[in-house]
Amino acid sequence: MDLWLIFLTGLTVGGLTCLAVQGGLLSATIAAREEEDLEEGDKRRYSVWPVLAYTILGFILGAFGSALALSDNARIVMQLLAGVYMIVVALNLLNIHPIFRYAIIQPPRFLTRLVRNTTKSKDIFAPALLGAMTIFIPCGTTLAMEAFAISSGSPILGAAIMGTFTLGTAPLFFGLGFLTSFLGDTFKRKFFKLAGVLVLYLGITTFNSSLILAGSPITLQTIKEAIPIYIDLSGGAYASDDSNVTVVGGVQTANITVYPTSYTPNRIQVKVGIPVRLNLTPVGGLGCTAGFRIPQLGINRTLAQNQTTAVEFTPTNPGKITWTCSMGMYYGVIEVTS
Amino acid sequence: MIKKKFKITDMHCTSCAISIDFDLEDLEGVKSAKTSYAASVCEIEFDTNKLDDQKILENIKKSGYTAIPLE
Repeated sequence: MDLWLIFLTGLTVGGLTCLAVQGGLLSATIAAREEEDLEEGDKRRYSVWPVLAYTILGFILGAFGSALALSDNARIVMQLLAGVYMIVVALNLLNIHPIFRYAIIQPPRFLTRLVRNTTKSKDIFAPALLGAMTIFIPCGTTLAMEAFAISSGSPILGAAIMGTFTLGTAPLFFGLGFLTSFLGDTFKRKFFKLAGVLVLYLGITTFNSSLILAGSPITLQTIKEAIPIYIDLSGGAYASDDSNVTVVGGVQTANITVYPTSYTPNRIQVKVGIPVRLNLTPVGGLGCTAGFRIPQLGINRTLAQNQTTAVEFTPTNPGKITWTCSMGMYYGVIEVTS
Repeated sequence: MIKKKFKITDMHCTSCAISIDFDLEDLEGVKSAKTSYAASVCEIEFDTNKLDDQKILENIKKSGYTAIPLE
């Protein structure tokens, strides 16, 4: 999970796009409260509330995603749609064509009015409530993040995604908000582009994950292998050495260590027609790598911590077989040679 | 009361549209303001005795956006 990327997206967008209006609302609320002559501390309370509210939202979205992803096919479709949506939002941020504006859902009037009325409230909880209510007036980038949280298919991951994103928006929102107004439009535009590129990256990887999960013969990885230029899209996942497959009692055996965010080794070579056994041992905590899949062979196992699970099959054709985690984020390749 | 449409040229997300609406509705004489981010159009219903195009353009400019009267 590229949480730092999500943080960076929040950091670049925060206080500029999504939170532009919310920042204005906040200052209005604080102004209303200052009339009542109440001391400092509101800002701090406000900064905690959105993070909390969005974390809870992320949890709910993740749970929604896991409910949707009852079957592998449903999960693949969900990730595909989320990926496409994120790409469209990114194209809008990058200002490619006005048509992409229509992807950004504008919240209904009654919700914005509700938020508006909270702004004018002098109630002691108004800033906190407002912080929580900003959920209802999301901007495109927030929507993209919400799609991403749903596609994670896990309440915990969803909460982590939304929490990190909102946390990322905080520094700009509070510290640098005034600075950006000095720096002007050109600076803002650059920030939008950066946010657009980040969302595009997240969208493409989400889309690609669904392709890997679907056992598609065309993924970024296979494209990469087909072209001679070396672009490392795996984030170092291919860095490990090829395994030394040993033949034990006529079975080609490979020991694979399953880390929370990688499989080591992640490239093994076997001969066609001879049974293969993969001994999978998760260590160092469970991640989504514990959901082990080989889409082409219809193999789907959940691995237990510190126990070795054996997966056996016999390759019938030369070529490449991809194994992947349950979300298509981490993977490895079995090269079948004749 | 008349209804008039303005093209808004520099919004970057739906929050901008909300922002414009809120600021316009604070203006004396504005009955309603509906800005669509997707269409980049703001539809305002206002009292011509109290307001004119110029004042509305100024208000939108104050919110940080550029408006052009349509029609």
